[in-house]
Amino acid sequence: MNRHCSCEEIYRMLSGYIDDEIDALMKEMIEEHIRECERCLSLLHTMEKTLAFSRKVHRRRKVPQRVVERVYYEIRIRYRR
Amino acid sequence: MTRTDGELALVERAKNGDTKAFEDLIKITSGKIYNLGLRLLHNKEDAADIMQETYIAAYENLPKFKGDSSFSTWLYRIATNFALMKMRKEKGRKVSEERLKELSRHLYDTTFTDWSESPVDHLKKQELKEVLDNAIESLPPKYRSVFVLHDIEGLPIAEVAEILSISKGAVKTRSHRSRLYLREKLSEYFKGRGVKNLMRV
Repeated sequence: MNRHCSCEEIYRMLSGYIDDEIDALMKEMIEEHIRECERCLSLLHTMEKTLAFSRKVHRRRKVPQRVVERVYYEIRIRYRR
Repeated sequence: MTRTDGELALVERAKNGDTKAFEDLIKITSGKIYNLGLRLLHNKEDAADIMQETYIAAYENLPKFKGDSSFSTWLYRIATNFALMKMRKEKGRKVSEERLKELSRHLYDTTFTDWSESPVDHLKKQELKEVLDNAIESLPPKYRSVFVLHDIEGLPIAEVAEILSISKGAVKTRSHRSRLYLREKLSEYFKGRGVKNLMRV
């Protein structure tokens, strides 16, 4: 099968492509399309950057010890045996 | 012994009344739960409250935990439910579901900014965080929970579906719409900062 993807189709399948949730043939068609289409390539890049930024600004933080201690305390006083 | 086996052994001891085993479970899993709260609600106090409510509910419901999913997945489900209740009470303006659907239905047709080469290290990181946090906060709760669990926490689609009790298809749809919306919000931000490479479509 040698079908070409339209920009609209790329737009709809972009997340599937990023998550690697599409089959090999579809993946090949998308890659063929973005090699030729600057706009869809930029769309892919900006989508990937959106995700990268989201992770970067939400780096994992350490749980404050007082928060953990508060949970221990609540469990101890509620369920003391 | 794998980490999951270790967790399950602790769960069994905790079920038999060993509170120290439950404290060890808290120690192992609290990083995930606290950060989930922080990422969903963007507020340290709310994240601490969610964490406390989650472990109290988990302790009370421990006899019902059958090990069908991992203990962490089960905790994520409890924590997400508490966070969803808080999110639904938020006053801030949310983007409508119709707008999100519309955005994913049609290819943008005005101007298109390619800002992907903007060097993030040179950007004002705090400003970017605010733009993103505001955009994430304006997502309706059922979209925000998918975006945070899948794209920030990095959980696979199947696990997100299990946590939220929705189909994998629904996770994919909500994730895609959220990503397009956030991408659009970042595009507006970069456009406002005068990023070059503006293409007419």
